[in-house]
Amino acid sequence: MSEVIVITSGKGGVGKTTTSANLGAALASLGKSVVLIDADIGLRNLDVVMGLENRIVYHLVDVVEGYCRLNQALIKDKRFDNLCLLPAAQTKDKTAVTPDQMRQLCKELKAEFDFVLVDSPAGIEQGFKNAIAGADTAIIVATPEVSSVRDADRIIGLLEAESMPPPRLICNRIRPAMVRRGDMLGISDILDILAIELLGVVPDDESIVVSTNRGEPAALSQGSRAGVAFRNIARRVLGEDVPFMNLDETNGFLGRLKRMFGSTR
Amino acid sequence: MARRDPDDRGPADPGAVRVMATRSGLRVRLPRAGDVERVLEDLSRAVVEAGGVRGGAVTVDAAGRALDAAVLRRMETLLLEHHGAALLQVVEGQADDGGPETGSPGSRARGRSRQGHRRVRGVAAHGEREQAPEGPAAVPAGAVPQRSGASGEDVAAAGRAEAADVASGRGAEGPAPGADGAVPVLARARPGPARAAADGMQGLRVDMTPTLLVRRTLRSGQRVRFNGNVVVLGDVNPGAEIIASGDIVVMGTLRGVAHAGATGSAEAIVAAFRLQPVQLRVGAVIGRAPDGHPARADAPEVARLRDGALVIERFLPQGSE
Ligand SMILES: Nc1ncnc2c1ncn2[C@@H]1O[C@H](COP(=O)(O)OP(=O)(O)OP(=O)(O)O)[C@@H](O)[C@H]1O
Ligand SMILES: [Mg+2]
Repeated sequence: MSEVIVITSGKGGVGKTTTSANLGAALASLGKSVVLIDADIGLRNLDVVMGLENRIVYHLVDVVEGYCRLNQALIKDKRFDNLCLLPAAQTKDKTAVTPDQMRQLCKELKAEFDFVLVDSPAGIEQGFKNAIAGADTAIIVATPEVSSVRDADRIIGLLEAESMPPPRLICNRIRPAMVRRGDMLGISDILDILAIELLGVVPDDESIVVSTNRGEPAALSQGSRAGVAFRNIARRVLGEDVPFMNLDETNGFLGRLKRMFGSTR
Repeated sequence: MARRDPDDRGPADPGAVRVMATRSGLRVRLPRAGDVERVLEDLSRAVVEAGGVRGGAVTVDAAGRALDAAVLRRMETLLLEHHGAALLQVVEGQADDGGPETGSPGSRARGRSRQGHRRVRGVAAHGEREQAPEGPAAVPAGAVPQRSGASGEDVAAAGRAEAADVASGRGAEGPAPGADGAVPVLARARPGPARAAADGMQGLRVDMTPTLLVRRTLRSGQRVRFNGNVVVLGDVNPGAEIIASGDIVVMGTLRGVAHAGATGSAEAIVAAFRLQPVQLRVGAVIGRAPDGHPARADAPEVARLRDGALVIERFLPQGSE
């Protein structure tokens, strides 16, 4: 059955676009048909991270305004036939689209793809409301910082108010050494407050920066630790029970995390 | 989204939900007739159109409609979950009340004077109990209590680390300057004036104040204000806020801001299964967590005023003292 998933965070720059690109690529590599929607109208990014910028002719706003057909605006990925991108407009702003139009768009795409991933803009205003409008479920991205967790909590509350099912959490940019020193929130600290299901933990990894600049999602390169994390996340999205990556060889606390979490919620 | 032009239904439309901003939040008047489902839907839309609930509390004027407990509970849930607001009270206004839509000073005064002969029901009692309104009708909006001789910045330190010192009258940082003469002295004995012991139950401390039961975790940005006690069956996360004229009890971890006794009661308490607030207020006294890494609570605790200072103590069930 098809699913529309919005990737959102409240706070900016925590890795929504990185997650959208990598989860999309990983799901496609596992044989699923995937379309990525860049809902960050006016701050288009996903095309660059996917390395597809030079192929854009039409964009999301063209589609909802009827300037082109939906299929004309979909850009096929370089690597996978079963992966597409619907880019954002760079010259418009968030008010160029309404939640109703997004709902309709997601409905049409859902009929054609296994997964529709919506890359949400930061914030809780119109752009966020558009991004969640057509979504069945949400993935929250948070970094181990107090402000990011606070914003994630706010988003979870807003999703609850929209009667969406409880979102799942990706903790991005974890640095085990800092957590061990007590200089960074640990996963259990974050889960303590947010109390939602953990979908994955992505380490802070230089390979993300390299792959982002190259337009090659890290999930497709074998050597990247973050890439492994995103591939695991994709398999969990498909319902597989994948053990959590052991980021910290010294005590393996992430390995125990899932059991801990499963027993308390 | 089926949009109806608000101009379609003039003030005379008997099927319309009407909203008025008041000092204590929003006042909503239900139509005399019409399907409950539509009324709830219209209520939600009217609140959105009014720009949300600023005071955090909604007063519903039933205008002669019979509201059963199930409808009240749905209304309470709708307001709380979709608008972060507490249903403060249900009042019976006159059916022909044609007051202005906005709360001009005149209309407010008029509304207040009328409350004398309005029947006010405590929400938590779901209409089973009726009482005459007494005291302030609502927790005032923006309720930082007035303190004479002390500004809001004069924060009495009441962090857990110093709790033992504060209890003995001396916080690690000492009481804030200016706060000394201004804070009310806490009488240890209960019940206070608002807590009547029921007939034939001498010795039992029975609290008849309306109590709002929040069956969920309050997340960042969510706020509950209630004229009575508030009990949360969940956590209160950082960035969330509870303001109550009575006591606050959190059956989870309190990490946000809690203000008990917001209408000035120095006897109010804040109790939590795990008490780790950024800031606590009881009556007119404010306490904040110590800077740096706060110690973690490992047992249920209660914050209350002792000799005018906010202290945090282990929770001991009444009667075991
Ligand atoms: N796991 C990671 N390790 C290292 N760098 C990362 C990681 N995740 C994201 N980044 C970097 O952080 C920056 C922000 O990431 P990204 O654009 O995905 O965030 P965003 O949430 O989409 O931001 P915005 O709110 O602006 O849309 C990028 O430069 C990205 O390369
Ligand atoms: Mg982005």
